[in-house]
Amino acid sequence: MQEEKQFIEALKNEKTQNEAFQQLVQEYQKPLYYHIRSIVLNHDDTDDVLQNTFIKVFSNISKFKGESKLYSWMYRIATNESLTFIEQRAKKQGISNEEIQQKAIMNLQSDVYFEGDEIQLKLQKAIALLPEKQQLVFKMKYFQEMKYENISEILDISVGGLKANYHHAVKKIEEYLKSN
Amino acid sequence: MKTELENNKITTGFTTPTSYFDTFSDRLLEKMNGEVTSSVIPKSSGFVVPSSYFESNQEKILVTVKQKQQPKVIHLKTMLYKVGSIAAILILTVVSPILYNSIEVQKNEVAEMNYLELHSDDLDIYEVGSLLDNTDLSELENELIYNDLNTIN
Repeated sequence: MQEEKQFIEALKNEKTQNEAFQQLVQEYQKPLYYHIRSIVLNHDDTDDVLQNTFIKVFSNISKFKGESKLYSWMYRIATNESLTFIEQRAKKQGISNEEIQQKAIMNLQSDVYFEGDEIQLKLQKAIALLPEKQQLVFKMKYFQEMKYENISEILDISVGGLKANYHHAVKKIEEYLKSN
Repeated sequence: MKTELENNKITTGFTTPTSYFDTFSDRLLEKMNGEVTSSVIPKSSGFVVPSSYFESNQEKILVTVKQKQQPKVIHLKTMLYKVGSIAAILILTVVSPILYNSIEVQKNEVAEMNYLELHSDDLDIYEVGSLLDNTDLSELENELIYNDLNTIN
């Protein structure tokens, strides 16, 4: 905790912030990349959103009051950036967010950075049918194996609520995989 | 108790380009600093200037700039004289003759009409004919033909 406080101070201090920021990027680029990728699905889009996430972190670090942990604040920014990205693309194309997601899944088959087989593609299709909140909970718990306490801090949902959401999500996905 | 889906984990299948994470930090800093590294866009435009072009032209450019910077003063009095003279010449040469001619023509026509009315009994056909030109005569002729036709009908 003390270490995180010092690190945040280093990020806010003009003299030390560049070095501290480099360290922050090194530490969080991978987990944030896969978190964003699980939402937007395409690599290039993920790259854009990840860069924007770090830029937002850097430009808003002075406003960060330390009320939550640094990583959960960053995950929140990454989640919001990803959802905003989908929303903006849907608006631009005049279709719904769900349709954008369906399109992204269809494109996965020809994506050079997707090495999934039939079952992995089917899993993505099953996830896309879930409500947004359940999708997020499932992806964070199942793929990224995050603790409920951490997910709770990021999504601002109680641990009990998260467990219920995850349980429903798993049931629905299993049903889909068995019937299709 | 874990479900089948949890026991037999399915991975995402997502991959990244080679050394994506090794170069990410550099690309991020470039973007933040507003720099772009591209292997496709050439770094220079390819335009060149003759050697010592800027040195030799410096003086020339400065003189031109100084000349352009001096404001042009327009003297209002001279300007008024010029405009007034042009207007006077125009009135004398173009407008006056037109006005004079039109008044004269009107006067002549009225005098002719008065004369014809007063002396209509004394004038013979040749005198009347001498006062009319070809256009008047052809108009009269047409009028007579028209009257004749009406009488016949």
